[in-house]
Amino acid sequence: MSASFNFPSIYNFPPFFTRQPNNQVLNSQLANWSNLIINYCEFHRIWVINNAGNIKSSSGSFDDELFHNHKINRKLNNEMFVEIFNYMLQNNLIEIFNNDILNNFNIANTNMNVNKSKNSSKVNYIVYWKKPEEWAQLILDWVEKNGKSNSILTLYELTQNLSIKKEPFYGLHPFILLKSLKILSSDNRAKLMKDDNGQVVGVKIV
Amino acid sequence: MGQTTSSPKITPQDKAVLQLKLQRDKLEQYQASIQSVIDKEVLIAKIFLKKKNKERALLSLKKKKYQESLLNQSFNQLNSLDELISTIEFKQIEKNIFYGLTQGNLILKKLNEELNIEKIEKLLDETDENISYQEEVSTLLSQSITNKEEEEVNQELLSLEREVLGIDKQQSVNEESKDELESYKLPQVPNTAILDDVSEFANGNQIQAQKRKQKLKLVAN
Repeated sequence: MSASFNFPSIYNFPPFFTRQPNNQVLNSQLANWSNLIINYCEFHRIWVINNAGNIKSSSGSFDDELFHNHKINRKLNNEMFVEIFNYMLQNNLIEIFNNDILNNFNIANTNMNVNKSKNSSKVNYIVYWKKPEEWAQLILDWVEKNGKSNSILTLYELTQNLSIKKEPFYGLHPFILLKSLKILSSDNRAKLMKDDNGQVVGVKIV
Repeated sequence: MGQTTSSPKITPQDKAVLQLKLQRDKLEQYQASIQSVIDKEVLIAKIFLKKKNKERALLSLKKKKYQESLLNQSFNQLNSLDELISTIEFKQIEKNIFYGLTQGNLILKKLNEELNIEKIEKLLDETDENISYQEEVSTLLSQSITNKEEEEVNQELLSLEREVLGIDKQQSVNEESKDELESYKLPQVPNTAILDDVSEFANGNQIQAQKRKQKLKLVAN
């Protein structure tokens, strides 16, 4: 990591890392944590984080600095992870990563997935530092600005091609990409195209 | 897929373009992988050189060379793919333009049919006929008026004149001309005219005087 993330001052406050008994205090603590996670992920363009706080990224490995402040020797325990991620799930800031969406055209009911995943030990979360609607709008704006409407775009072209390296959605996680494109599709602004294996590979945005 | 009532339609051409673009994407990914292999071989060659193992280093460089030729080939292929894609996209635009042109042509044809020349000529002829008919009617009407009433109108005019002026035509004309002269008289114009007259008179006098002198001379002689 070339540039380092500026942690807020509360990050150096030891009680921040332990669950606060007072409900009101706990709520603001959770809000602060979710803000910190969102900002950190946006800064490093992190898309996926798992329920143990491990960050998965193609752009490099991350140490556990986000949840483990080595300077004051404090780190989050599992109980707090559960609290924070539940709080973020409720506020639609994260979503349980479900590989099915990449294969299956219809998004399965997310609530069902939440229940299912609570039992499993390891869950990956997609972090929405921008909402899918915002991503959809960004893609739509780009398409309109570049005269790409009505032409066929591959998903690879939309997020990996060097020509869009400067666009905010460069390298966008396929899960988020598909979600945003489905939003466009339900607004009749886009038509998803599948390959022979039934995977969505292209899109026609109008 | 059930709720795609008015969503954009995918044509067979779109599918073909998608296939081409997917091929292009794969080629790009392939290039990236070849590039990484090339970089790796260079690194390996360097390591073997440091270990003074020239043969292995040479082998690595040969591998690298081969990969580079592959990379070049793939660049050419990518280029032709890109060309094909843009040609197809351009043809689609051309097709749309052609469609637009034919539509426009159709409408123009329809409009022209509504405006066909025979009809227009007929219409213009009819209009001409109507106009000439109207002229005939109005001349007839005006003639009938003058023949019957011209004298009456003239007499009325005369009597009106007498009423208004109270004198007969000759005098009134004289008065009018006097009035006109007065209105044209500007203060200076008559002066200059008079001066001219005077000088003329003066000249005339001089001439007369000269004549008299000549006469006198003649007499004296």
